[in-house]
Amino acid sequence: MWLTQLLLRNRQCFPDRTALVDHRRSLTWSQLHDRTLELAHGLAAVGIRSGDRVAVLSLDRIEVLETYFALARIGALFVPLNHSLTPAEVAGAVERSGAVAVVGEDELLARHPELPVRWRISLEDPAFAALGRDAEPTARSGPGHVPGVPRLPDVGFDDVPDTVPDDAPAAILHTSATTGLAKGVTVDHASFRAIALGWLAVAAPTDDMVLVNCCPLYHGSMVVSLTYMAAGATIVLLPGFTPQGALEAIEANRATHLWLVPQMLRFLLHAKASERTDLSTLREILYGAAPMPMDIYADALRRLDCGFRQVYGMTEVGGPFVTLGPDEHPPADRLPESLPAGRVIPGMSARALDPQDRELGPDAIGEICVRGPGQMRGYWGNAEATAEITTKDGWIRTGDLGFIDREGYIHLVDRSKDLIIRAGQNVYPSEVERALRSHPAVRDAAVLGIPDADYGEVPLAYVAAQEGTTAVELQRHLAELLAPYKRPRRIEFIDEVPRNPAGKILKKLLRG
Amino acid sequence: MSAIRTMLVELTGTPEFADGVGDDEDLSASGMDSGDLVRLVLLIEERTGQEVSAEDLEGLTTIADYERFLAARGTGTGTEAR
Repeated sequence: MWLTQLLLRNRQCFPDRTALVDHRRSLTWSQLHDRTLELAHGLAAVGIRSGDRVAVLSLDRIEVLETYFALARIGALFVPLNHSLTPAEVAGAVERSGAVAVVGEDELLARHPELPVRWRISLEDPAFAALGRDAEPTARSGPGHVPGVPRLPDVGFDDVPDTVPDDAPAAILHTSATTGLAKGVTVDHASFRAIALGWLAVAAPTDDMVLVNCCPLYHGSMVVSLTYMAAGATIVLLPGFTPQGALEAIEANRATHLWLVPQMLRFLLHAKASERTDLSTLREILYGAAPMPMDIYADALRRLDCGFRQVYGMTEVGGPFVTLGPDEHPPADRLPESLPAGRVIPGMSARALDPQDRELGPDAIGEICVRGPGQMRGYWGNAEATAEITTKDGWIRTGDLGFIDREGYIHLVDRSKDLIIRAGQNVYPSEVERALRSHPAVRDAAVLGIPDADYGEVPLAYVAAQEGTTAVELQRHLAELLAPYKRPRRIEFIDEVPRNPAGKILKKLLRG
Repeated sequence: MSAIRTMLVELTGTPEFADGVGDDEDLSASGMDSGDLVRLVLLIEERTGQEVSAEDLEGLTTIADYERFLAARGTGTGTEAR
C-alpha cells in the first residue's frame, strides 16, 4: 500500500539521507522506515487493530508522522486533531470518528482528560519510544500512561505484512465543510497516491530538496509533505509557526522549499531576523489555503530570489489538486489584481457547473467542482453530508465560484458558501453564530468576514442581546466553545439582526 | 497598563487582556491565538527596534516573561505602546 511502499522505496534508494527533521532530532529514511515498523508492532501489541481509528493530538514533530505511517501499516486510521480546539470540539471529533485511542503530547492530553477512548498514549512517555522494541516499557501514571503494553519478542520486518489494500481508508481529516458542522473526511491510501503521483508529474519534487513545512500536520495540507516525502525530499517540521523559527530552520537546513500560508510569508518578511538570515538556498515557495495578496507577493519578489508555486486544494478531494507553477507567476512589473489558482494536476478533473449541475463552457462563472482518484470516500458516518457535497455524477462541490479559461486555468471569483478564510484556516459563520446564540442573553447573531492586513480576513460579529451584555462576557462564553481562530475579532451590538422574510440573514445590509 | 498588555489589547481587540489574564498565565493555554502571539513579537520588534530571536521565543510564554524580556533589553517600562 502507498504509504508503506513509499517508506520502503526510500529506505532502499536513500537509506542514509535525512528524511525528517524537527526541533529535537532528525531521522534517515532507514531509521524512519524501521521505527515505523517497530511502532506498528507496538501499537498492534497495545491492541490497535486494522480499521480502528486513532486520534493524534500534537504539535508538529517527527513522532506524529511516525504514528501516521505506523497506523497505516496496520490498517488503522489516523485522525489528526487541531490542538487549538476546545475540549468540547476535540471530544466531538473523537466521538464522531469513534477513536479507540488518542496519541499525543502530555500537555495537550492533560487538557482533554475526559476523552472517551480506551487508550491514551503519550508521545513523550518512555513507553512510547519503547513501543515495539525488545524492552520493558516504563509504565507510569499520568496523562500519557500506556496501559498493558507487553514485552515484545524480536520481530522481523516481514512480521507485519503489507496486506492493507490501497482502497482501505487511511485517515479521517476534520473539516467543518459548508455548513459549519464538523465532519470527518475519510481518505484512503489510493487518494494519497493519486495526489502524490499527479503532483510528482507536474511539480517534479526530487530527493535533493529540503522542504520546511510551516503548516500543521493536522490539516489537510499535510498531504503536501506526504507528497514531497514520496519523492525522497527531506521534510523539516516546526513545532508551531513563528517567523523566527521558520527562518532559523531555513538557514540551518539549507532549505530549498518552503510551504506556508500567504499570511505566514508576510510575517516572515516582517521579522527582523529576515534581514540577516541566509535565504539564498530557497528555490521555491509553495503557498496555499488562502489567496495570495498582491502586496505580499510583490514584497516577496523584491526580497527573495526564488520561484513561487500556488497550491489550491480541498480536504474532500484529497488535498492539493491545482497548482500555478513558478513559470506561470507574473514578474514584479506586471502584477495583476489577482492570480489564477492554476491548472489541475494530472489525474484530477475540474469543471464549472451551473446551479442545475450542468457543465459550463470556458470563461463562464459557476461553482468549481472536482472529480478524480484523489477524492474522499465520504464523510465518516455522514452519508447525508456526503450526498450534499457530491453531485449525482460524483463531482465534489468546492463551494468556490469561478471559471475555467480556454487554457485550463481556474480563476476563483467568489464563494458560494458562507466562509471566512482567516490565515488559511476556515471559519464558518454559522458555527460562530450558533455559539453566540447559545449564550442566554443573546437573541440573535450574525457573523461575517472583514478584510485584515495580517490575516486576510477576520470574523466580525453583530449581536442582538439583552441590555447590559458585554463583549468580554460573550468572548468568555465563546472561549468555552470555539478554538481561538474562530472567535470574532470584534463584537458589535445592534438592535436586531436583519433577516429576509425567509429568515435568511441579510449580510449585505450589515456590510453597508 | 503595562506595555505588553496595551499591545495585546491593541492586537486582539480583547479588553480582557487588560486585567483578565494573570501575569504568570501561559498565553497559549489561556486561549490566545498563535497568530496573535506572532503579531505580538513582530510588534515588539517594531516598537523596540530590536530583533527577537527563535531562542528568545522559547522563554516567552507569559505576560511576565514578555515584561522581563523588555526590561532586560532596556526597553521595558519605558516602552509605551502607541
